[in-house]
Formats: sequence, structure tokens, C-alpha cells
Amino acid sequence: MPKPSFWVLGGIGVASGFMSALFGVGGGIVVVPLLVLLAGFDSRAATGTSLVAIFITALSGATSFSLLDHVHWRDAALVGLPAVAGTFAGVRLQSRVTSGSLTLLFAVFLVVVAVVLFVE
Amino acid sequence: MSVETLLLAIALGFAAGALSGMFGVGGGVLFVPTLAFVVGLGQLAAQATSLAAIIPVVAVGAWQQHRAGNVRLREGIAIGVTAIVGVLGGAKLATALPEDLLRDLFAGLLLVVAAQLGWSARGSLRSQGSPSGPPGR
Repeated sequence: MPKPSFWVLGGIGVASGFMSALFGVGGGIVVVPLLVLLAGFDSRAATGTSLVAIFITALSGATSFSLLDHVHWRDAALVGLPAVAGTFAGVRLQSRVTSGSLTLLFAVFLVVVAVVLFVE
Repeated sequence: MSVETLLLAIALGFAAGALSGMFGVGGGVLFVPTLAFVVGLGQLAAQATSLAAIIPVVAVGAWQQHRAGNVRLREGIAIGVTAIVGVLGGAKLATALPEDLLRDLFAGLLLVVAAQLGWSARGSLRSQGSPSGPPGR
């Protein structure tokens, strides 16, 4: 696999960090496709590598917002710790039930949540 | 916080983790609405708290992927460390924007993620039986 330049990695980093802090998400939506498109990663390596980047990103984002007193740590544990258990179930389910139609159903669900957020 | 709210938040947290494992969509996309609607945080607090909730999820995910040999550590660290610059800018903007606008922007992000998922589903619907992409996005 090619060795990406520092500038490519740095560009991906700055872009993903910006959107991570702006939206409260990890930034994988940006990191994974950019690693594939700009750095020549295969999707498996892109996904694995993105998690290391997201760990540092989320840590710095949570720290920044915490200094501004916006982080509710107890609530973070309330959803974050069950989610750790959930990922194990999800990865196990993935090989068995994930299909095009299920993915589509999830996409429709996200659209519904988006509409609810818009009207709120 | 009532017992019902507590249990619902735990259940949705678990579901967020399961869905992220299944579809490779990060937990944040689901943490933010859960924290806003169920826990009752404002949009900015929900987003900030979501970032904290992501930490244990990606820590475990990164460790698993590392053991599976899917992690290029040097590149991951380079992206993560340079991301701090972007984080400072993004945090500054997020705290400056009115929460209504922040919420609408987040809803727009959900539509983009939904479109991305729809696009990938289109491919796998056409070629039934082919393996789907890896988890962890």
C-alpha cells in the first residue's frame, strides 16, 4: 500500500476534526472515504485506521467542550457504556443479517430523525 | 431523571452501538438525538456529550481492529493529532452558532449519512449475495 504524505493525512485530520467538533460525531464519515480516495487505503484498513484517529479526535473534542462546561459526563457514560456492549452484538449480527434492504431501512430511519430535528 | 428515561437511554445507547457495528456508521449520529430527545440536553450539550460517549466505543473498536491487523497506527495517529486543529475551530464555531441552527445543520448531516447509506445499499441490492463493507465507520 502507498505511503501517504503528511499533507494528505493532515488535510484529512483538520477536515475531520472540524466536522467532528461542529456536529458531535466521530468524523468517520469524512476519514474513511478520504483515506480510500486520497491515500489509497483499502476499505478495511481505512475503517481500522479511522478508529485510531477518531479516538484522539473525540478525546480532544470532549476535552475542549468540557473546558467550556458543555459535557455531561454522567449522561455520556449512560449511553456510551451500553454502546460498547452493543457494538459486540452489532458486529456479530452484521455477517448474518446486514443486507441492502436493511441498510435502506436504516437510511429511511435517519431521514425520519432528520425531519423531526428540523421541525423541533 | 426517571427510571423510564434511564432505561430508555441505556437501551438506545446499546442500539446505537449495535447499529454502528452493523452498518459502520459511528455512534455519534445516534447519540446526539438520544441525548437531545430522551435525556433532554440542549443541542450543543448533546453534541459535546456525544463526543465523550464516543470515546469508550472507539477505544474498544480500535483495539479490536488493531488485533485484527487492520490499523496503520502511524497514519491514524497523524490524522488524529492534526484533527485537534480542526476540533478547536469546529468547537469555536459550534459554541458561537445559535442552537436552532446547530440542530438544523446536524439534521442536514443525517440526510448526508442517509444518502451515503442509500448509495451503498443500492450497490448491494443490485449484486445480491456479495459481502457488505466492513464495520466501524
